[in-house]
Amino acid sequence: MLEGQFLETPIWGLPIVIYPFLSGLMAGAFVIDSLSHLFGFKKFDPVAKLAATVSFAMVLLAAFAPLVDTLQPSRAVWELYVRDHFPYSPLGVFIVIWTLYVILMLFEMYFDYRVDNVERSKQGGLRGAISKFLTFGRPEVSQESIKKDKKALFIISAIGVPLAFAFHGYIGFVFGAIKARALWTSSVMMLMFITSAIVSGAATVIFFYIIGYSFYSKKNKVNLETLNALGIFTIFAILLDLFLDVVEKLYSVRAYTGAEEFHGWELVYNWGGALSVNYHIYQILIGLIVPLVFLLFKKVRQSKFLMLIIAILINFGVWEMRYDTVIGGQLLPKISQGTVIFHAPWLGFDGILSGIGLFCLGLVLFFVLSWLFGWEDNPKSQSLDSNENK
Amino acid sequence: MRKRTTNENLDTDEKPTSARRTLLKTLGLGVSGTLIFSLFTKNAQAQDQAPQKTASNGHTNDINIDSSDQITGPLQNHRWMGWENPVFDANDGWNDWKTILNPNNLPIWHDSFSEIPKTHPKHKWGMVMDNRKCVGCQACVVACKSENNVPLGVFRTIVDVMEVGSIKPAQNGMIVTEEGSYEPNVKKFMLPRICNHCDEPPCVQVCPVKATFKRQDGIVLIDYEVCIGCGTCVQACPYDMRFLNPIQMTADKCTFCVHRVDAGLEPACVTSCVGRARVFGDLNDPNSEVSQLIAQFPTGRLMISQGTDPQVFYINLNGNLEGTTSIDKVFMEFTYTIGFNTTDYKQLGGEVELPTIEEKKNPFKQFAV
Repeated sequence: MLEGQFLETPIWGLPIVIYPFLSGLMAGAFVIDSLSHLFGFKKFDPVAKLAATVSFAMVLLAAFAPLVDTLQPSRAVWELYVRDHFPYSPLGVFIVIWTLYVILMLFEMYFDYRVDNVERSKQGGLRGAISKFLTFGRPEVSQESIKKDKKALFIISAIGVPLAFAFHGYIGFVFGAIKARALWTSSVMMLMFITSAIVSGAATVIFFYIIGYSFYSKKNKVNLETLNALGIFTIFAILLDLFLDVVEKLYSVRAYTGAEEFHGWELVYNWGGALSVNYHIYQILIGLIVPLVFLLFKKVRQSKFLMLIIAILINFGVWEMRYDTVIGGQLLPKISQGTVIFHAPWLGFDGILSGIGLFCLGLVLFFVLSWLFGWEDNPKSQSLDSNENK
Repeated sequence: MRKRTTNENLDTDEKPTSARRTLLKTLGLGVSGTLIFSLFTKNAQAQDQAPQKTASNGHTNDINIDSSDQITGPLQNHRWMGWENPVFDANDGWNDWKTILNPNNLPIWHDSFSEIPKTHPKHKWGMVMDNRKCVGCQACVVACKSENNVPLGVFRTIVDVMEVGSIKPAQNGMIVTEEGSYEPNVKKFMLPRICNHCDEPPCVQVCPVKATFKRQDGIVLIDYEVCIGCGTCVQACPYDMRFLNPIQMTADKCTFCVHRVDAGLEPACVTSCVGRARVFGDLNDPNSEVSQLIAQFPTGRLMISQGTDPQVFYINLNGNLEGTTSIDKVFMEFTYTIGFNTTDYKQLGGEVELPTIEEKKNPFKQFAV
């Protein structure tokens, strides 16, 4: 970005594309988790902890992506906390909601894994010692304490779902509220971000559920009923997302929008535009319609291999949605003519390598947390759950 | 942390004189009263000239006032005589960025800009771009880069030079090609652009760390020591006149040459303008040149529909350029300052090559004896 910065250049590069993508995984995974705790979807119980772990890893990572994009990351942490600009600045709101969410997720993880930690602390060794520490001096495994945990999880989920929506909603607000960018000032931007977050979160949970429980779990296996339920949930999320895409498409009609936005749509998204293939083929067709068609069949929903592919397709499509929004909005210049050309550099702050590094950091975080809390453990209760469902 | 919002000393400069004056008037004192009054007002003037910068930076302010009440030194400013000068002198390090940004010098705002007119600011700086006189020589761009040490590839001010109009096929037209002859009906149009120092600046409101702010005299500035370089303000500026400085790694933009203005000088681009197309001055002063120009000629401003209330006024502005929603601007040909990173540049036959900024350790080694 800094090399050859000319009159109009995309200012936000790949890290800002990655940022809503990863935080979308966080919000979506938390919704899956809360469906189990809050609404009593018993079929989602086996994936609840997995979803919580994904959500926790991603919320920790969500802070890194915008920090990578800031030119003074060393200042950012301190200044964002001390000199907040709460009522106006979306990025000022970020640090408040992010902090609240991390605190909430710490409680969530504690109550979610407390019984597991109590059991694992009996093993001894390093992991046992860590688990003993993580119980924070509550080694009870009685029915009453478990009930208390469930109650706490209910409350946490009740607070967490609006918070997760707020976290992801304000990212939509970051874009939707900037009036200078004609293609961003859309009233459905916030809703689109939240909906596609749920879609991608569900797909990610499916992905890690299949991979983790087929290859890395010793005790449990993938529960096909749970997979089916996740598939059905994804169908509804995709339908909602498609509906909002149709609304956005209608919004780009000449009669309903300003001249600049209308021409911007033609220049960037419509056929022949800079991102026409990305938008129509990758985002809509491959990312939403193909998975939707396949998910309508029950045999597909219960096939581990096909669900894995569908999960990858959906995540690819949601990634494209973030890319089209963040980069596409900046391709329409504010005051000069034509469209701006975007080249993602390999090196540098917002280079491709730092993007790959962010993804790898996310995987590392997820695996560290999974090692810490266990892939599937909770040997008793969860295996009982899966038996019951069978 | 430095305190940012100091709204306490807003009205302090006016109150002492007026209070004493009314007191003396009510007492009905005659000649002696006027003598005392003149003594008091002299002191009060000195107080007015002296800024309220005491504790925070430890500087004491010594302004030289002769026995004949003539202000000497850098404070002298013929251009704005009759109006109180900004409180700065060279001894106090007006070239010191920290001192310029010292909030004790002028109140600053991050959000409630509507409060500014209520505080009766001494000055409200603005600029008039007289498009009748701009020849597109780009001297202002060079002067700005030189004055403010703006890095390669980025600009605090630019002058778009474009051709406005149409070229239509016509018999016996001036332009003859293989396809036929054409009649041109075009004229060159120059659009000098700088930061508009908006009265409702979106860049200030979106800043997450309050690094950018609006001074009481209307100048929008950035505190480079606080800015985290997130780029939100660059996105929010509808005029695309902010950029990320690749050397100091923060957001950056036109400051109206605040160091010169505070020293009683005009911005560099204004002094270098060969045709006096750029006029800088006090919008509060009805006798200033900018106020006179705005009063006498119809002026336009860029993108008023964005609601930013810009303070840069254009005389003879092409109507197509005023509105943000006008797509006609797309059909204009930028001849000099076209964005090298756009599709149009490619279509005109240019190659998109991004030059790299090289930092040499010893750039003048070859000249060393």
